[in-house]
Amino acid sequence: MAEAKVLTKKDVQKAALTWFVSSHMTYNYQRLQAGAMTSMLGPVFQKLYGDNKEKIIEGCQRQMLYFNTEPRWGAIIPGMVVALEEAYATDPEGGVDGGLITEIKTALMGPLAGIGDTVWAGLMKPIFLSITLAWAMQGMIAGAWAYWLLAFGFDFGITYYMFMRGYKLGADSVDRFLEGGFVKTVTTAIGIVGMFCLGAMIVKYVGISAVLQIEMTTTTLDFGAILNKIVPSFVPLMMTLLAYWMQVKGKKVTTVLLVLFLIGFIGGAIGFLG
Amino acid sequence: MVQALLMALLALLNGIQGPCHWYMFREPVMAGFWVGLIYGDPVQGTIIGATINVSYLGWISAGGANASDLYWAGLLGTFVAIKGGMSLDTAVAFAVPIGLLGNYVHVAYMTLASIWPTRMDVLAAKGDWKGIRTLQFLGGPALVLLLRAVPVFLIALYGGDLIQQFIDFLPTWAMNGLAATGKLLPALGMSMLLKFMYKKELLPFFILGFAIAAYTGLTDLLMFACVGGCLAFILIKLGFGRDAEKGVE
Repeated sequence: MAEAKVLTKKDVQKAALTWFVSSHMTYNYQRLQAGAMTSMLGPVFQKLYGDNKEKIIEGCQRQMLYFNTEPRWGAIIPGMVVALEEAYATDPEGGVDGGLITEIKTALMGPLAGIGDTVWAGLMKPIFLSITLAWAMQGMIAGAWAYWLLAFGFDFGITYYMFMRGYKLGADSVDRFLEGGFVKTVTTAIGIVGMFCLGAMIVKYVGISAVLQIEMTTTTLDFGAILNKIVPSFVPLMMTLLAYWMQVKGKKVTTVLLVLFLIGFIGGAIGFLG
Repeated sequence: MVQALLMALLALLNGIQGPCHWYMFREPVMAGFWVGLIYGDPVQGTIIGATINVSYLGWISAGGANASDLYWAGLLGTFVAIKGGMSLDTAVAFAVPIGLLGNYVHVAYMTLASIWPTRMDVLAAKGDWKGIRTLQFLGGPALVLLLRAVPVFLIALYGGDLIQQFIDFLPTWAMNGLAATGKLLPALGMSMLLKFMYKKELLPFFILGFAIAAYTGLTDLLMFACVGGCLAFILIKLGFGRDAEKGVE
């Protein structure tokens, strides 16, 4: 790989910022994040190739190919691509070429989308929400803004860190980074916190309960109260597990949503649930 | 009129894709705050938005596929709830069909936005990266303006009274049904999270969290996060994740 570094830290920072702001701005079914990739690299090409229009065209066309990953943890890929483009431009015979850049990019985007979505959308964001929503539901506006602060702060922090890291590591090390224990440790740790909180969240947020009462000759049989004595929050747990089970069986979320809607509506209308 | 225009502006900010907009305008709790602010009751708006938000806790858009539209569920859900003077549970139930409707808008957006890369290809062939960047920054938002801001403007302008009439028209049993639905729907958000996080070796933590909350009545999630964090730290130090990995793979 080339020794010469043409790009300054500022150039890379600018690319990271462009990626952060615009990764999804014109998200679409056809090419997803390709436009963001090219936008972010435009100034980089300009600096690397100057007046060599042909090379710029080649670069733009290379980067307009389909690309999609998770924008935060996956920012390591655009960061790495900047490093690769720089290596290719400064030393075209050094082993890095256009085809290789596309290959590496395409090979990494899937795994990183998987890891990124699990850690961010599956774990971090729900944890931020579950804590701050409780405040907001009590009428604290600060709760809503606390969510913004956490989500935006971590989003920016992770994106910037991963982008710069990707640039520094270059292609070989990103592979090693993914295979190493770091990712596994992070997912396990957040998984424990997430599952632990999730159990409590069912009790806190799913407010449904059985309210069926049967009038007997001498007394009233209160099903809800009896159920609550045996296992508190039994109905919320069962409903969550039902919805989970349907999704595991491959039902679409929209279908599950409609089933829950019907159970709730009918159950409420006839006085079983409330 | 001014309020409807503000709603349209909010719908634009709510629909633009990117971290500068996702957390400040899209998340139902924040969308609720802004809608509340426009209609003079930010506290109530925040409460409604947060309540709707719970059903969308496990919301994820992988590769642009949506379950139910988070954008409009929060924005229009809060609007409808405030205009209809609804209870919180009913508001959650109403947010669902709105979210499903919004889904079509999202699909339309993702499909229409697919014309932009084709235009970008033309620019790329000329090496005009500045043009591509401009299109990247403005192409999507232009469609949001058309597909989200304009409809929301019309709904805000003409929808309020209709909603009120509709609510008055509903019989008691239907209101009971909607209220129960509202209390039940957060189970969906929980189940989506469960599907995401589920691993056999993590199941004890789920049961532990549920049992503590259900039997003690303690539900402060900051406390659970702290305890969970310590559990995770200790267990990983003891080698928790590594053994499990060998067992699975």
